[in-house]
Amino acid sequence: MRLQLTQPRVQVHKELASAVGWSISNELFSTSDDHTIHSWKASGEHSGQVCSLDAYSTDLHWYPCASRRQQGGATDVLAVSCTDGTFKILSKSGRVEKSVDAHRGAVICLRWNYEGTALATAGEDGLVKASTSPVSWKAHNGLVLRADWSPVNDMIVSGGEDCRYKVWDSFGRLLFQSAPLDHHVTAVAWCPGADLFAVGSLNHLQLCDRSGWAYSKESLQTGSILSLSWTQDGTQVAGCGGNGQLVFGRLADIALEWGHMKATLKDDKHIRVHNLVNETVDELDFRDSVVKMALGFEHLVVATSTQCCIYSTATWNTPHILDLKDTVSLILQCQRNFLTVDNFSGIQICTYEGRQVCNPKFQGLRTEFLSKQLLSLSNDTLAIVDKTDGKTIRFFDTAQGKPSGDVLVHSMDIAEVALSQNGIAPDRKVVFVDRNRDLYVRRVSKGGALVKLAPMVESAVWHDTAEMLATMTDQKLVIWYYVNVVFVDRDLIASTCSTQQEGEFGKGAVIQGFSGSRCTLRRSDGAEVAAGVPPYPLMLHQLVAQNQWDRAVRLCRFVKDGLLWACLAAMAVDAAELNTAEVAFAACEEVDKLQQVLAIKAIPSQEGRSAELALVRRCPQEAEAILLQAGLTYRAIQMNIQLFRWERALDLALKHKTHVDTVLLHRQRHLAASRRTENDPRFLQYAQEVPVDAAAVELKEQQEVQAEAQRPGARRYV
Amino acid sequence: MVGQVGENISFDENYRIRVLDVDKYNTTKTLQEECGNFSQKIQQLDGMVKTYLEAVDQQAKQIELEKLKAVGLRNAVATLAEDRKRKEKEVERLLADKQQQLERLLAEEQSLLRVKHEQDMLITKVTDSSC
Repeated sequence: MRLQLTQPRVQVHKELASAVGWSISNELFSTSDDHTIHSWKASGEHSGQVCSLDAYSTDLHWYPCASRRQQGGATDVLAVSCTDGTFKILSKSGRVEKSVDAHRGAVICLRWNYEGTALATAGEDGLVKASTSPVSWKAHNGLVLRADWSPVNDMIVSGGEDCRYKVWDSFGRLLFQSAPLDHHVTAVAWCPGADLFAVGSLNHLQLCDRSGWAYSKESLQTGSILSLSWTQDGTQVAGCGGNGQLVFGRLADIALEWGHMKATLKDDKHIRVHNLVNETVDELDFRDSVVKMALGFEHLVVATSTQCCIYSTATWNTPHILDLKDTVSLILQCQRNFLTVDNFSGIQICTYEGRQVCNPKFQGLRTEFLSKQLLSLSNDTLAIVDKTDGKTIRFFDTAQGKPSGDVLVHSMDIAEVALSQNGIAPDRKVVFVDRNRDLYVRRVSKGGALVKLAPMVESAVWHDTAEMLATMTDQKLVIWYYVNVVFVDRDLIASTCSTQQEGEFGKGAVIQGFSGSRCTLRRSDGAEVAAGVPPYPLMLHQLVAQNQWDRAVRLCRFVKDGLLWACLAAMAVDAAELNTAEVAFAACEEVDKLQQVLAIKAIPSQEGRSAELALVRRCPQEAEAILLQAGLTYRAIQMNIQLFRWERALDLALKHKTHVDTVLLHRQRHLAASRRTENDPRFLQYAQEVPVDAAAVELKEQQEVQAEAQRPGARRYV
Repeated sequence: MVGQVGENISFDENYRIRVLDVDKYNTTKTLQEECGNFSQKIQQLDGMVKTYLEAVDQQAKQIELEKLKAVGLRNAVATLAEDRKRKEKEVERLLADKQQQLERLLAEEQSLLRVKHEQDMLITKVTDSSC
């Protein structure tokens, strides 16, 4: 990625240009020490002088307007700060609507808040007006010249006289510090999507990733760049220099890769697509400038300023075209559909045939704060982090756009959310990383338990076809080959994940993608590195999905890997495939689990077996419900006795008026074994009322087992 | 007395009475002529001086111009070293930039080679055992 720079040939400002700002309709206003404000077209052409002021102006900021559609007379204004201590509100035509005496001495800078309800000014008198609770820290060795904060990812970038720029989170923790540049850093600005920021210095402009490394560095003839401003759609940046010259930069050479396809945005209206396998090149031209594009799942989605074009990677000739109402700020894709986010129509889910499916909404949805970290799409579910408190994840089904599943409320701010991509809706799982970088997993469907998977997780990405997860944990790449194991048997978690020993990724590496048997990562120095993942787990997933258990066992025998056996064991338990589970547990030497599986296999009835499997999954309630529904009262009581849930066992026995003596006998034996005396009043009471005869109880138990085996529909497991 | 008067009085070519003595008159006449000659010569001299001065001025201007040029050149030479340093720095920065990009690409290549190696191993393993 780089900046394609254009500099106007004419020198319009006679003196130093102090500030620039883009309007919502992509018109640039620049102000200068020659007392004038000029306007420019997005192409860099000078369109004329707007007005002249009677004082030196130091800063300007347009009234924040989220959408082109909301643009109107009242919102089409900009604020200009002046050295005479006033700030002025100007209309688009340059008429001074209002002039307010704000500070003694000059007003140095001013900013609207995001809603446009307040304006903060900072003056030479050392006062900041209309500010909120401040946190301060020592950031630079030397004067801090410029800072910018992004509401999307809550990060701050600052530049100072120590010639460095630094990236901070909103608590003041240093995330990145640059090597010193040649000159003081005089301007920094976040791109609206907060993936990038621009840094300006003397005759120098550079484009940086959010993690700090530079995409490109450009030399200019503008003097010190005093102010930088991005357009609303984040495709263009403008800067003004100390010699009055302006510079326009457009993002170009944005490259996306998916499988063997590579799409590159060559300039604003032109995309080149490479097919790396048969080495063909396709050129795509657009009428309007390209704002966003996404490549994946055999489709390329390109959003221009007016249209959304959907190409299939099979043919580049006939795109499906959708009309857009506003500038798209984000595109997300999944297997079956994709979504676009804009500030007017919100979140739109569309199919690849170009049909709009739905438009999920909830109270307090702020599309301008959404980023791809806070939004995740799968075939049937959409997950959105609610930015009003930052701790809530809401789920929507993608067919109707209605809320689905349980709203997830966490105790901490959520930094990243991701939905699993494979399988059907009941299997859908969500993982999220919170502010403490802890990774949690939950089922989307109702009543799912929240399980903490790992601490110190920097990023987490699901595999695009199987239920595998790649995470950067403590600077190491960890692959979770079967995440569902969390809900099957937590003892197996450690044996179904592996840490890649090879490959040094360093601090702050981010996983870009995980598909096939390859994981791509972006190191903190900007290098995109690949990490190989063994292909066998993926094959195992595919075989299991097709119910080919014998082939799965053969695969595991061939590979002879404990990890694969553990995965297979967990999958088999989840699918109640006991023979496979037996083989797998035997192979990975989990003797206790093997014994348990054998015991389950010996149970004569289907319901009894599924209840025992529910116990394996640590869901006693579910197990009991299965048994009671099937009328296996004795088994339910026996299960509670084995779990030492004496109260519940007694309740069940009393409710069904059977086996009270069985419960009492086992209770007595248990107490005798642990050398304690009965002190529960209810048990004392029933011990007096009900006679307990050990021989009779054992006879009854044997009869129950036989009765279960003779039930209609009871089959031995084969 | 009359004769004396008569002696002094004469007629000129136009038969007008002339009271001045002929000799005197002739001397005056030559004086006038010589004066005329002299003033003419002076004028000539003046013209010559003027052209000379002009030429000198022009020369001075040219010299001044050349002087300025020389000064400019001298300055340019003086800044050349600095300029070269600046350019050198710029090139160095560009080089560092490219170096960084190269390192990134090398890291990417290395990782891809590692993946390829792993895949090759896998292929040999699979083909060997199937033999």
